[in-house]
Amino acid sequence: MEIYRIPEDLRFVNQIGQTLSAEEKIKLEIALIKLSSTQTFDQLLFWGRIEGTVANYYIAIGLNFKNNFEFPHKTFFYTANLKEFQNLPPLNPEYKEQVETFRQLFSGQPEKILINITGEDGDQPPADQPNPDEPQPVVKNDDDSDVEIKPPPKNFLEVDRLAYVVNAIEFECALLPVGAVRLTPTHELRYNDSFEGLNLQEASKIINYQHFRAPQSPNKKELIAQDDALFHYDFFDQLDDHPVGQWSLQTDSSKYQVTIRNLQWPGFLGYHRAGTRIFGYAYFGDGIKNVDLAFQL
Amino acid sequence: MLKEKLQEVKDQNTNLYEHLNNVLTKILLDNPKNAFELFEDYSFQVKSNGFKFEKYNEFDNAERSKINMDQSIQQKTLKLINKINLGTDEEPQEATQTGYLPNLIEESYLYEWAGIGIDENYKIFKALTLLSVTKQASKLRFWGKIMGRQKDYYIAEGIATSQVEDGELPPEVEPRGTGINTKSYWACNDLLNDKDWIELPLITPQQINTSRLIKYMFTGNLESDVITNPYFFGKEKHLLKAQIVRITQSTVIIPKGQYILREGEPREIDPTPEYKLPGFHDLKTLNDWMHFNQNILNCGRLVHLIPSELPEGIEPEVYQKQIENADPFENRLKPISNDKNAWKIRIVGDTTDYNPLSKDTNNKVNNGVIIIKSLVWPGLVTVYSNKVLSQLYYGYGYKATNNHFYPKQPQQVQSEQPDLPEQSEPNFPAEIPQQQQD
Repeated sequence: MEIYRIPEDLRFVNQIGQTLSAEEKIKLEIALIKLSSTQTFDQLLFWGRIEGTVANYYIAIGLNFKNNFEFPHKTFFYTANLKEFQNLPPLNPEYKEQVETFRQLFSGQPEKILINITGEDGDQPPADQPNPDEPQPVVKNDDDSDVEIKPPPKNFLEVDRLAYVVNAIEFECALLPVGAVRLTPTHELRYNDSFEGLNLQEASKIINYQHFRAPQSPNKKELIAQDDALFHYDFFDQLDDHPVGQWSLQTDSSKYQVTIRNLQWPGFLGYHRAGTRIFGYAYFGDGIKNVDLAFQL
Repeated sequence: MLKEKLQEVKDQNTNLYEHLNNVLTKILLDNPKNAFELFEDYSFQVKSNGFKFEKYNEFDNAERSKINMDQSIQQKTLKLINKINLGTDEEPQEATQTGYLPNLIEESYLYEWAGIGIDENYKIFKALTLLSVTKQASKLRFWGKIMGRQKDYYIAEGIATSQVEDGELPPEVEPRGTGINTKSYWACNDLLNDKDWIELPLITPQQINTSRLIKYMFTGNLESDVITNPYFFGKEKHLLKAQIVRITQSTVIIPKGQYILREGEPREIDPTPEYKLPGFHDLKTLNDWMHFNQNILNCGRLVHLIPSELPEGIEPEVYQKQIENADPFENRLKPISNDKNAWKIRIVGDTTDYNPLSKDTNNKVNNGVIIIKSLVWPGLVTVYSNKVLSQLYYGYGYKATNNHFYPKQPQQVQSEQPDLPEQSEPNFPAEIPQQQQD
């Protein structure tokens, strides 16, 4: 969601019954402006809000198009108190399966411990794990130039779970209308200035929308590597259909404002106003994946 | 000479010289900042649009989005927004009176504080007004929106006063106006179509119990079949009504003390006489709120069914007690703080106390908004601010579950028993019917 267009684009989010209150909008705008002054991005977008039991998380995403081959670099930021955005920690692939089993709500406290490794309150950590309080054994190489230090095991905090969820949603759901972006001769991604929007008929067909991520399917990977990829607009993956029916495309009563909702991540929606250059996506939900979807259809 | 060379490179309609002319003219006209990056794009666009540099006056750069709205949609929208006209255009007929309908526009403002955005709230409000007039429904309110796979449902709750004959109902179904079928619900896919509000049918206890075992995402079509295991006997409209009733019965809450139990009949409640809504500061914790509606019993009704034929040797009152002990009633008006992990309460907005206009400085005015969200039925929101209490559901219509949902396996189809070996009928010669003897 473009930052300067948040109040207008919230109209689309209203279709699934979500919005930002007046207080949230004002604080969010200030925090986003602060963030964009400290770090330089080609574009800063508001990604969405994840509701927790005590507080909510607000996520922003910074995109860097220039000097990145084929796909812009995405950086995520979060804030729980709307005062200052902080970087989302990098993903730790060790905990991937465990995170997918978490089904309880987020609490809104980033420092909350979800998986306890180091042990608390005087519990002795297991003997085979290095005690985090003692200085770590230093392994020296033969030539004494590199010193390898084993990092102490860290607890898995809620903010790490947040990083998983945000990256998962972004990977599985982020979408764009076909034609909204194009490649330059140096294969960098840019927004297409001559994009006029999909017309009324095209906007209600899901085939005219594509993922906003580096292409994964083999034929799209080939397409984007070719030299004439400049002249094609559909070089990203099409929206997957596994499970069938996970995407729901609906319009409002004027048939003009299209939202594409994902039923596996209820709360995610991509939107487009037919005939204009207004498009985007956002997530307003509780951050829990609906894994039972296959049984619900 | 260069010009002729370029003109030799031809295509069907144009040659390279002309094409370069066209492209450069367009670039000069548009004057983009990043013309270098867009150069290939311009070439491509000029080829597909057929821009000709001689006709440059006819093209303009003003970015105008062409707004086209379908004629019929335009008419329907205007009809909805204008004053209600029950007759035709030539003979306008005003609506005489409508039942109670809370002002959705004012309430939307409260819901915005809760982070709930009601899309097209004015259209919904007008559509509800129209519903109230045409179906003579009283105590109407916007119940909420249930999202579906292809279409969404807008749901209205009220009491239908027009007489509808339901015919003979099976004994376990609570008749219209009682039990779980007390309130009527209307569902609508398309707000612009005023004929679209369809009243949801009466439901049976069996349907309630089946809906407790399945997890289904609605399609948006009231008549579609619901294929699940255990099999839900009914169409999507029955399941929709069942979920709506379950949600309403378990999540409507009111400030503590607004109702009291009736003496002698602890399952009935009456409004507290001389009750004053507490101020903002007395409603800030979960303890200050209580359930309003009765829970649905395990049998799927609100009141136990006493069969007309009692087993022998047992007196009616004793039998009734036995049934009630097996499926006990829950206490009415329980505080919601007893429900573990089921509610989330937040205070938002401006919570300063202001002195009111009148001289009574004891009753301060507080514009803070108290939001109570249900964690069991995600999407259910209750808001309270300045003596206005309102409730809404915006969700997919199923409960939050912590465990993965595994539908029950259908029972194994037993294989047929092998046929017994056939033997021919013993026909003794003596049994052969005697031929007619001449």
